[in-house]
Amino acid sequence: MSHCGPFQREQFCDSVTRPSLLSPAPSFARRRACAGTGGTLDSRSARTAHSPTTPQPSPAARRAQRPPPAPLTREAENAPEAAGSGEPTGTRTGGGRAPLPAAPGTARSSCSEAPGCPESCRQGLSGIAGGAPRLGPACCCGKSMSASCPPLIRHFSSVTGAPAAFSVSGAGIPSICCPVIKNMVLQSLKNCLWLSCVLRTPKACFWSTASGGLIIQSVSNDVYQNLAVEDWIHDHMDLEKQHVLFLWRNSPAVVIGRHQNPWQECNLRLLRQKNIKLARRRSGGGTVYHDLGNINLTFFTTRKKYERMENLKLIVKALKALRPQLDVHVTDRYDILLDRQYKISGTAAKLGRTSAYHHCTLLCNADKFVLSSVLRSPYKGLKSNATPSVPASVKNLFEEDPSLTSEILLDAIAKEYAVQHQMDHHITLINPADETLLPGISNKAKELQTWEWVYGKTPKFSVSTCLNMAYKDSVVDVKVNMDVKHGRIEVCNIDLPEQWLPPRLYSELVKGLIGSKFCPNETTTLVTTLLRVCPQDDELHSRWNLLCENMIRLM
Amino acid sequence: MWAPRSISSTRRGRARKFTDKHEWVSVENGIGTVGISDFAQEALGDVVYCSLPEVGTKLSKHDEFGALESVKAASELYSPLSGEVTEINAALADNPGLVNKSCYQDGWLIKMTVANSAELDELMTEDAYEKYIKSIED
Repeated sequence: MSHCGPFQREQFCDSVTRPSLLSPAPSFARRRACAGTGGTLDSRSARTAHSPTTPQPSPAARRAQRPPPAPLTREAENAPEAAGSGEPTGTRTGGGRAPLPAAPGTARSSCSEAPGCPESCRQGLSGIAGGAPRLGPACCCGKSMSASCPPLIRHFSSVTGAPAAFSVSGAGIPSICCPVIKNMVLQSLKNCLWLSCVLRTPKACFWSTASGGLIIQSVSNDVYQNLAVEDWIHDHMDLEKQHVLFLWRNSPAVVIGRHQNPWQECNLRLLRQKNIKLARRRSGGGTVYHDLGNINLTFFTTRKKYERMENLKLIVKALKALRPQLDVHVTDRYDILLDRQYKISGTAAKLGRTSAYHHCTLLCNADKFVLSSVLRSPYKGLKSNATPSVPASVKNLFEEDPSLTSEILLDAIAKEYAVQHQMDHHITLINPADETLLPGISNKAKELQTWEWVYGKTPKFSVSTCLNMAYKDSVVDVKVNMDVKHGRIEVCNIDLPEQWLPPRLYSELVKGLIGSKFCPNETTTLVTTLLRVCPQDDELHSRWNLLCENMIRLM
Repeated sequence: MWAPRSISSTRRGRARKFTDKHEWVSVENGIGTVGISDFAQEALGDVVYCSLPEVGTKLSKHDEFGALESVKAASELYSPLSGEVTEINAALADNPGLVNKSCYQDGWLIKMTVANSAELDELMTEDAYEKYIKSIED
């Protein structure tokens, strides 16, 4: 499979049959960061990742109202090792780590189980050794999850998709039958001091108490949510203290650069047909196609420390460490080439007031067939000063070495990042839908999906083309000239043969188009409405439909 | 030795003031002309696209009013003053490189009214700005 397809745009697509992002990684502990949970889901073993889809053990959690026992930052920095005891182990040396507390409880103990203790709780307890109780279907207090369960627990439950093992009744220590769980609650609270901080100042805590580096991975494959995470980190995190590597993958989507023209860059008709999303990112650069076989990496730093070459060299180093025989190198255009020929990674970046991010793609196992077809624009006659993409021949790393999977590549890169930043090899899973951890994120995701952002931000462009409409036995040539600004038709000239359409109808069409979105749906609505006021004349209707269909095809 | 590619003029009433984000503004007859400094255009690299606001847009000081895309990155522009946009540099649409070639003259970005002239006093003089960039370069 050495052919990398025709001369293609900078696109990386991935087979939709790739294994789930959430499947366990070979060498990293992945911990979920949830504001409502105290962070770590599973610390049973620091070396095994878990999938959030299976019920996760939960550290005990308390209501936010409980005051923190000690100054937050210090405690957070002293958070213990994952599988270790509940006691702080002293100040860490070396790079920072994500302040995710370990699950408490190391000793095997048994609850003095009362008959009233639910089955699930008793089951959970037997799994306490070295970890935390498994989640059961009901609250440990015997009640099923209800409105009286603190929001924290319900939140955790909703985030993980599994019910919490127990409930905290009221605001105090649970008056539950299991003293062991009670101990766990207390124990884990010592380690969960940052939790209360998160709940008081959610955006500050999780993100700011770590110093050094942070590696996070999104559990979502939604391009808008993931782009929103980038925005959020860029806007809210203090990157003076730490730098972040964000790992993400998307289900099929085309992502255009900040100042690009989607009509010029891709086949919008095909995108709509195949239900492939279109997103506009806030960084510059060209158009790419994502799917699960493409991995995205975002390097967040202060503006001063912004250094794309360094980041890309890190990736190349990781790839070579994984497979020394790989011929990969970084070009001065900030692409990564395989075999000196095929592009496997493209780069884009954004510089803000104080912070910056550089993100890039990495082609692992993409569906190049889909890639090349969606990235070929059928629209003719477009003139614009929008930033164009630079087409490139692409190739998947998988084609070079079938043993390479997205997961393996992600881990290798995260490992190299950890080594270079002298930090622990922990990848924190984050849920971009978690409003508590990332306040305001859903608004950011929403904004990225608005028509105004995706299409409306297109730099002004003009369409100058000729519709060659086959009508009856001849071809009607219709010159069309339109100016589109903010995605709306500003100027519209349709050069029809005289009397081909009744003048009044023609002028209604042009008037209706001006100011309306350069969009097939909106235009369809417009022309359908106009047709209703036309006389019932078959000839007229067929001419009208022919013209309008052709006009809509331009969009 | 850092040598400016173009020298900001200091004619009467047109003294250039600078922000710590490397934008400059020069006010004449109540209208401020805004651009980016030589330091900024060097750091940015070749500008390939200028995204500027609509005439009539009301800006507060520090508001993001547009972006410059260069080969390096998309870089946000922040308003040095509060006011209303009266004009944008149309030449940049077809010739974004003017920002690099002539950042203080032909490569100006927007013109705006000055809603609050006290804000001008908060900005750096050219001398202060030169000192500032020397300090951050170290």
